[in-house]
Amino acid sequence: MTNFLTHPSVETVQAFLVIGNVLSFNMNPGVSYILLGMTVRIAFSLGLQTECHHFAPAEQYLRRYVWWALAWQDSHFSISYDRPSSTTLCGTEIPYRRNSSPGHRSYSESMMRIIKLTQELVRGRILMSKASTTIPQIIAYKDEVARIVADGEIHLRDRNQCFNQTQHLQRLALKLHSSYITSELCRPALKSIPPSSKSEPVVGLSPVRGDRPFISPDSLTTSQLRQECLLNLKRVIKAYLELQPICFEAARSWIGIQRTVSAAFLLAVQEESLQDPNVHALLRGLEAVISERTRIETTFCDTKDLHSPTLGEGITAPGAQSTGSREIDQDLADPPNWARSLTKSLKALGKLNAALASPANGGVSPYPSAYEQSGPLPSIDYAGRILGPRSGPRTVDYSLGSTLKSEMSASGKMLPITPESTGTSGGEWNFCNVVERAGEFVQPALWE
Amino acid sequence: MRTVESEPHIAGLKIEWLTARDRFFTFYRNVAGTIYPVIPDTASFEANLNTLLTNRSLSGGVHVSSSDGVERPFGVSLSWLGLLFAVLASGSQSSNSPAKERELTSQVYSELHLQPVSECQCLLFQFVVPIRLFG
Repeated sequence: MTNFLTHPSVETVQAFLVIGNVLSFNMNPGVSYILLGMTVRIAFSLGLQTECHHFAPAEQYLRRYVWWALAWQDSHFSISYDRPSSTTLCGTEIPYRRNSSPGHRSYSESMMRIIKLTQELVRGRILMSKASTTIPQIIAYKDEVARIVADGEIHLRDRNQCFNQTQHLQRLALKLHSSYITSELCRPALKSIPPSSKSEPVVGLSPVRGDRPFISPDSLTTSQLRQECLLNLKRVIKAYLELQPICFEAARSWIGIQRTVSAAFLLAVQEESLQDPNVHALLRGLEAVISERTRIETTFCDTKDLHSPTLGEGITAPGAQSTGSREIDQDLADPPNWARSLTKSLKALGKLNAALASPANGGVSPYPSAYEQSGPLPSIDYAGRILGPRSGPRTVDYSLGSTLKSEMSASGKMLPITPESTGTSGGEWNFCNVVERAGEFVQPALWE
Repeated sequence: MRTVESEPHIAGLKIEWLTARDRFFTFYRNVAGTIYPVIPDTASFEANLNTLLTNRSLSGGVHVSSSDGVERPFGVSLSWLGLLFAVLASGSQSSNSPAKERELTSQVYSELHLQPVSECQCLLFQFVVPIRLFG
């Protein structure tokens, strides 16, 4: 009897986590997300979420490790897609190696600590969706992320201390994710007045809703947090751009691309970015990298001999239903999921960059005048949220409603958000509407 | 459950295990398993893989079902074998093989996952994936 569901083991959980990762790598995160639900249940039924002290130390270590690997995947989904996360409500200790100490934390230890912090944020949001986050809280979390990175092994912090591909990969993955989380943490500060509006009276953050002032009007700190947010968005893109030449295969990571592309669009809709040559260079760099990637990934699709019988052969394994075979042969004619969603992001990035470089630059401000009077933007609020049909007001609706519908666009695949998938894309991009257009690609904020 | 009866097929496959192992396991360890580690100790995982390969070669590639009902093909547990196939699929995806080939590997997984799990799980791990990966 070897049914993996009736006789699950820790290895079963590991196997499903690896498969889930394979699926999301393939730009099929919707399926991966559903599979993860089952994996979480297997883990629960094995009691991985609890500390059982009757296990031998090695077994205990493995159980904790696998639990945090599970939380890792779960937290990616809950942040990127605003889905509830069942692993946030419980958890074990971080599995530290015996010789681990601050300053020498391994990559997995550092990442798991970041995941733990992320889970805390998500949990807070689930339990107290009405609660607001104060500046001191944001700063405390932000400092904690910085401390986690500082506690890491030297190669995780210093490029010059990386002597092989593995070390570079670990450093850049940690940089990408820690910067992304920091930018999410500081993101409420994007509601503040950008520095260019100096003539306006300093009012700090204005409340989005009258009844709930969001952050105390400490404008100095707020503007620092705003800069911090922008800085970290740039770091996300830089990390990805640096990853590409070091390991082309690793840069195929869905979560890496997803986070980079969302950072790019969020960055693009900030006023500072419009005149910032560094941002323009980063965005053009990203476009070039994704363009090259799309070219390579789609080249193979043109090959005629894809229809050779050998490729379909394996599906008709002993006992396997042969129905799959034909479907897969059919799919051979289409570009991979991968290429399809990548192409969409690429197109939008191209339009964005063209609009930013257009001669109109310097003329009419793409920011509605209301922006400078600290009122809400007509189409995008300061959190970069779209007040349109895609995300709607963020009343965290877990009933798999509108958010899901648009993300799980055609064929049930959860693609990176693109206007093409939301039906609002038809028009042209130009300098005057670039903020609005790019805003259509901005993910909802982790919190308000 | 057809799993136990079907197991000899694993042994019957004409698979270049070593070549595949070197190729896909290394890619898993160096790329996907580096960025998203699920197996804390890849060295002992690899040692297990070597045990399996040695036993397989010693037995001439023929798997004999055990009499006590506990199946350990070539000395490894079935759940570990499941993990191995998942790892090899991930390695194949992390590899530099052409895009379509990589996508197919995971399509096999998703298709099987969409079917009733109890029926297909073992099939997935024991037949389809190895054939896809090595065939």
